[in-house]
Formats: sequence, C-alpha cells, structure tokens
Amino acid sequence: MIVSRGDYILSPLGEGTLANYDGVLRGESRLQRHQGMFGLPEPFTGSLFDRSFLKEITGARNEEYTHFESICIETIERGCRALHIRPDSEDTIFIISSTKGNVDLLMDNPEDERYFLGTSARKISEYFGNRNRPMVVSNACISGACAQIAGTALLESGRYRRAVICGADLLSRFIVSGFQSFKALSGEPCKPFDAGRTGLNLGEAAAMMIMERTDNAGDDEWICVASSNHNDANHISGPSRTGEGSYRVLSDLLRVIPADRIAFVNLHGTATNYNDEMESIAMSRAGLENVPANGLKGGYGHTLGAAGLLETILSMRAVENGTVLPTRGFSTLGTSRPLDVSPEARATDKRAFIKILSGFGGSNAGICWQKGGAS
Amino acid sequence: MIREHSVTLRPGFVAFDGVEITELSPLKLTAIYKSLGVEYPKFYKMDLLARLGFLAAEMLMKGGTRREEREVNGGDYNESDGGVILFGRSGSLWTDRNYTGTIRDISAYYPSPAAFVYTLSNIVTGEIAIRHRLHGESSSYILDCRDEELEEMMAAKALERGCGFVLAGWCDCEDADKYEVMMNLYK
Repeated sequence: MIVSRGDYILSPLGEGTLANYDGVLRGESRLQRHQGMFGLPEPFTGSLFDRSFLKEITGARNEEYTHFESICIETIERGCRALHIRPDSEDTIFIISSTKGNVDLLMDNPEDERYFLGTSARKISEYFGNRNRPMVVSNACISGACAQIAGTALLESGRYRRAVICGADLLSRFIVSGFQSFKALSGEPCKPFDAGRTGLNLGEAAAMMIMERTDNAGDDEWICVASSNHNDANHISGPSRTGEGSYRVLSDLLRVIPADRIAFVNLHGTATNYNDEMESIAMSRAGLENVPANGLKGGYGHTLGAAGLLETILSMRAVENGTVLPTRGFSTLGTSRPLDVSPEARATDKRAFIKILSGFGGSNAGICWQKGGAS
Repeated sequence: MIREHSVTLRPGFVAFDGVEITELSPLKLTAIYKSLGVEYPKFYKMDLLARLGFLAAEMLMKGGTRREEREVNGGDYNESDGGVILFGRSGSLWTDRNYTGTIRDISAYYPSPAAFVYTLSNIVTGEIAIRHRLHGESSSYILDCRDEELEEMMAAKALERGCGFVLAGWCDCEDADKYEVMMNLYK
C-alpha cells in the first residue's frame, strides 16, 4: 500500500505545516489588495509571499536558481530535514506539480532553458543529489492531486519505493493578467460557496509530501485508499453543468470507501459562480449532501499547482485533530444543491477524508486518504 | 496491453502504424485536417499543440488517415471510458510566447482569454476528450526528454484503473517548424 511519511508547507500564512494549520483554524489569511504589483495596470487581491523572503531563500544558495526553484528546494529541504529523510537514494523519484513554473522568464529571457519544466525540475532534484529523471505534472488546477495519483502509480509499479512530491506556483504578470482577462477574479477576499461570491483570488504556496510503498502500515499512518481522474469532455474553460467529471471521481472513490466513513470532503471551492455550483451538483449526485464539506481558498486563494497538495496536507492535520476546518469567507449557502459547509470549525471522529479538484481542460481529480488501516 | 495503432507527426513527416503517409507528409497541419474530411470548425481556434494532438487522436480513433479506410477500420470503442495521457517537453511554449507578447509592454497591453486558456499544457488533452467524448483519465506530464517505458507504464495503469482504452504518448510543440507527436492507442 501507499502511505504518506510526512509533509511540509511554506505559504504566506506560515512556515511549516503546523503554523499553516493553526492559521487556518484561527481563520487567518494574507489575502490583500495589490496595486501595481508585477507592473499590472489593474490591482488584484491575492495572497503573496513577502518578496524579501523569496529574495532571501534564492540568495541563500551558491548556484543560481529562480524564485520558483528556490521555493521548491526550500520546502523540500525543510521537509526532508524535519522528517529525517534523504531524498538522494536510487529508489526515490521527484514529482513536481506546477501549472506555470518559470513562465515569467519568457518576459526578459525568452531563450532561458529553465522555462522547460523538465529542466527546472532536474535542477531541483539534482540539488538534492537525486539522479532519477523527475516527473512534472502540469494538469492545470488539479495538478496537486494528479501528482499524488502519479506518485501512487509510480510506487505501485515497483519502479520506485519513495516519491518526493512538491507542488508550487508563484504569481507573475503572466498568470494574474490571464485570470483578470477571464474576469474570474474577485476584488475582495473570496467567499467559497457563498450566495455573495464574486470570483476567485490567486495565491502563492509550496507544499511537499513524501509518499512511500510499504507492506504494512501502522495505525498512525496515512494510507492512500483511493484516487480517480475523469474528464468532463464538455468545455476547455468552464466546468460541466452536470458536474460529470467530478461526479465520476466521487463515485469511484465511494466504491472503495463508504460515505459514512468520511469525515469531510475538501472541495475545490474557488468561489467562482460556476465552480462552486458545479461542485454542489456533483456532491448531490454522489449522495454526499450531508457529509461535511469545506474549502480552504478563503485563506490562501487558489494556489494553482500547490493547491491539491496544500489542501490535502491541511485536511490530514484536521482529521488528526478531530476537526473539520472552517470555510473562511462563507456565510450563506449560494449553490442550487445543498452542501454541508460551515464558517466554523466542527468536530469529527472519522479517520478518512476526500480531496477533490477541478480545472481548465475539463479535468477533475480526487483522492481519499485514511489515517490507519482500520476497515 | 495491446498497442492498436500509432501515429507520428513531425514537420514534413506523417506516419500511421509505422508506415509513412507520403501524400500527407508535405502538408501543413490545416491541410492534413482538411484531407481527413473531418467537420470540426473549432480546430481553427486551437493553438498548435492542440491541433497536433487533435490530428493524431483523429487518426488513432478512426483507424487510419484515408476516409474510406477509416470507415472500415474505425475502432469500436466505448468512448465514455477512454483516457488521454500525454507527455511533452515544451508544455504550451508556443502559446506562452505569443501570450507574453500581449502583456510585455504595458502601452500595448491586450491579454486575451481566448489565448490565455491555451497557456496550459493539458488543454490539448481536454480538446481531445471533448472531440471524442472521453470521460476517462486525462493527464499531462512534462519531462526533459522522452521516456517510452514511463508512457507505457502510465497507460497500463490507466487501463488497470478502469479506462477501456487510452490515447497515450509524446506530444511536443516547440514552434511551428519544430514539433514531434508519437501517440498510440492502447487497449
């Protein structure tokens, strides 16, 4: 079976998984309005790393790395150090989850090889002395879940025993201008599933997880019990009105684990009109209206390639603490189908959760993790 | 796992099941599209990467490159559980470069949502899924060079996880005159 050996989160909200978990529990956020950032003509509301922090971690190493590579390296290094794991062994593969990596290089250095995500990922894995070719998952907004699913596949194949999975994206003029042109952004902190929601916020974060193949998992270990990926086959930039792909993902997961064992479903919850509505339909079709649901983008914004990992890791800590994390920004339900969402933290005694995401390209993915092997 | 069909597309070269299609090789992508006899006007809105993936998928799903062949050999697939898993090196570079040109200079700033949506390397998988109603897995991976063993392993895994068939392989577009597609249909 495939287990998680541990994780680490670096975000504007805090350094380390625990600091992030505490911040989310307390309802904190670093979402703020940025005027003139990245030379953009229009302001936007987002959650950004302190630029001096990015400069500091980038300057801390002798060789030249971009901010994107530096945030991945820093996150992986801190995580491995805390977990006493050496990522250089032959049976370890690096999997990087990112939507746009170093795309901002195209502005000033269009010939820079590090635009190529495979090249950039190699710089990251080679920093740690790992000689295997790293794999980059670039599946738009669902990348962070797909990286875990790919990790599961690679480990189950026997080709590797351990996977270092890191999701990260940094914002740039490229990314923000695109979302602005789509009119997808909210000018205020976003309100997932709320009747007054007006769009999403973008955010920055990096999150890493170590996955391993093992024959016996202890009762204190996180086991990946199911995962699924389905396309809407409907539209490249809008979710299916019937929630088809997301519904199929949930149905696959529920074939493995019954709904009454699930503490909560951590939804994508971007706070766009269409996404949140679609998720309520998919949840309803899957018979999950009464299972607690939540969304974490009210605290971080949409952290793109990091989102699937960040939100999975925080959900793990929540289950360990017997908690369903609050949905920051939510007050009155604004979806056509019922969803059990709350702005407050709630108690749970269940040991499993589902994380789902949906994104451009009609893609949907979900993963179910369970603490301990109790069946 | 059986490889039912394979397609190769490079500038000046088109092959199906390992045999060069000499009448298609010299053609530009839009001419190849026309010669396939497909009615799908959205092809013209796609970026280069999506057009390449679209053409390869079209040949694979219809079992050939000539209309009469395709009517005879077209596979009998349950499209609802089909998957598409593509690997590449350049991601959406061609469109990323074009999009960057629209935002570089603030005095000539005109970001367009129609261009921005193609700045994601998985949009080609979405276009193929829409065209053939493939509701199975869709995935896009970036590597620094091709790894056929990995492609086959991920395709086999998708079949094991419930896909009835999978379109999988290498689909890379660095520029209009520098691209390479080697896509297969696995069952």
